[in-house]
Amino acid sequence: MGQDGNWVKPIEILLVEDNPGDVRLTQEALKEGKVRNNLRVAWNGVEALACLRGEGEYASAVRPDLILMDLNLPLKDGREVLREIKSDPSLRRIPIVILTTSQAEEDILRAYDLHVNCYITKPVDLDQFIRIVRSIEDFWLSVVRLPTEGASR
Amino acid sequence: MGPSASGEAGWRVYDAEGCAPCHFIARVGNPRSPLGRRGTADAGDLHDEPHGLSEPLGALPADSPTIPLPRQALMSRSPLPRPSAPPVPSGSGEDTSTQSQGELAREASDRTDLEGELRMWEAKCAGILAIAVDAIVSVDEEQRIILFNQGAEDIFGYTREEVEGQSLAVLLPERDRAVHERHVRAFGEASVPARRMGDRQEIVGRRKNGEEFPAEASISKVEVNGRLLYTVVLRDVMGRRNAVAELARYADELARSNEELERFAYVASHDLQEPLRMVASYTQLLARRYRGRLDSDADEFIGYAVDGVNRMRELINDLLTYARVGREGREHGPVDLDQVFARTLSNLQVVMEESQGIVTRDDLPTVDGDEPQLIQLFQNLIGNALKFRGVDVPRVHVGCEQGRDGWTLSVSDNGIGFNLMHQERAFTMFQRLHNRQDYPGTGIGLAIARKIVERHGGRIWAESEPGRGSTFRFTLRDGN
Repeated sequence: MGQDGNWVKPIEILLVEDNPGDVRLTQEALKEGKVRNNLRVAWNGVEALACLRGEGEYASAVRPDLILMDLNLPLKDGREVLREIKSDPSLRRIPIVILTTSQAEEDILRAYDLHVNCYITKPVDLDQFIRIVRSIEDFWLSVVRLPTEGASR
Repeated sequence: MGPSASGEAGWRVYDAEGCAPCHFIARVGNPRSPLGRRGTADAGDLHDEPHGLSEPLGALPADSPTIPLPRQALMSRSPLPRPSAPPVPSGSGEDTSTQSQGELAREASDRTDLEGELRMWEAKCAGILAIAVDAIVSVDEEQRIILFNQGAEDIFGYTREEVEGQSLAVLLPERDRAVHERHVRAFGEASVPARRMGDRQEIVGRRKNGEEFPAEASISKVEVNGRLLYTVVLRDVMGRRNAVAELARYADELARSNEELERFAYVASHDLQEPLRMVASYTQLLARRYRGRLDSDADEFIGYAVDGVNRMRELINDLLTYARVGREGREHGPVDLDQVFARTLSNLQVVMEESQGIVTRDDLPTVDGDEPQLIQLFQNLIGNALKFRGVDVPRVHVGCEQGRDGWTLSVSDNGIGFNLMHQERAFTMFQRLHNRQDYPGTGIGLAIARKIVERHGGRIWAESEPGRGSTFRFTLRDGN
């Protein structure tokens, strides 16, 4: 099924992450994946929300098919962003994957209470990280059937 | 039968346990004391030979106070039917003189027995009063001190002569005096058979030098010919109180420093994860993309970097695991160790296959504990048993034995063993007994195992000999 990806529109992913090292790693991992994608990066929570709502300089931003987000972000915390997205009827159907270093039980509970779609702890090992990014891609972009409102806002 | 017997001698005893020594109070007291003077007149038929009875305590003046009797003595004095002398109907008129002579003789011999018994009792009580570390103080109905033992002298700093005849109030802080006076009076008026007043109440005492001190006191009362006599037994608990407070302070400090250490280990290991992940990921990415594409030096350098990062990752992970044992303990509940065993083996699958090890078990009990931690414990011990194997196929057995307070579990292997001299080292964090090249690992496994066992209220120890395998034993509470 992977090869078909070349013929359809690339998948839009919004990565909300403040660490350039992690951004690059995610890009590298996605590069090794099989789904054609456009990765857009928001470096903090405020930028993420502006981007999703097409505000200001983000007026032309494309609605993402998937959001990958860290929890600890500058300006606006990931938990806060999560809460705002999930209480916004026009955004809440976009699947959100929390990708963070925190293994704290309370962070996990909190995120699910805020209706996160899944919570993943970043592994230290590169191979594992690549495997995880690929399985996110595979599951959310190939296996799962998402609502068809698609890219239109 | 107490009331009738003692009533005969004009005594009524109210103390809690019915213990006899309180009968002696007045006797040991200063004859000049108010009770002494009052008591003489009504001493009753038993007190007609005071001098003879007083010998064990030294000669007493003729107007010596009441000579209270131990209950046993009073009992034997009561006119119980005696097999050798059936009661004779009065007014029979026959042989009265012969009979009364016999009675007199018997009575005389009874009296001698009684005196002996009394002397014994007095000697015992004098001994008790003299060596008691507690203060023993008796007061009369007006709460004037009539007995003050050596213990009281030591505790309060007064001599007996200084306080006898004085009010009990001198032994109390001024602010408490009125309250105490009322308490004692209320205690005296209570119609119920008295208990210890306030059941070992804590009171504040006052020494001669004005120093106040916490004390535990109990009180009993005795009625002598209608007048009450109180005896207070008082223990100075200042030393104990201070020691307890000191201990509590140390325990607090220790708990706090332990907690800080745990938090530190957790935060350190947790926060180290982030930069570590960057170093690890990028050295791995370098290795992945560029191994064999640069020169051989570059490959070697990358190799060392990757090794170092892997070791550091292991250490940090283990440290985090160790810190979590303290931080993230769940409520304890019944845990089926057979299931723990099964889970452990499935977690150790790779090691099991690689080592070809055979792991067996007894029927394991249900214990009280935290399941994830117990799995971790089993994993560390069985994992070690497989790791430190000799040339033979590793055989590991998990056994159990029921003891008085719970279970003793054991994990035995046929591995390389170790010298028990190093036991403490084996259980200490990051201490290793073997070469890293031969037996990889961070040296934290047994430290984690010990922490888990200790958090379960048990202990862990090893039995081993180099070349003869090891057995690790630990105790857990029963879960049923």
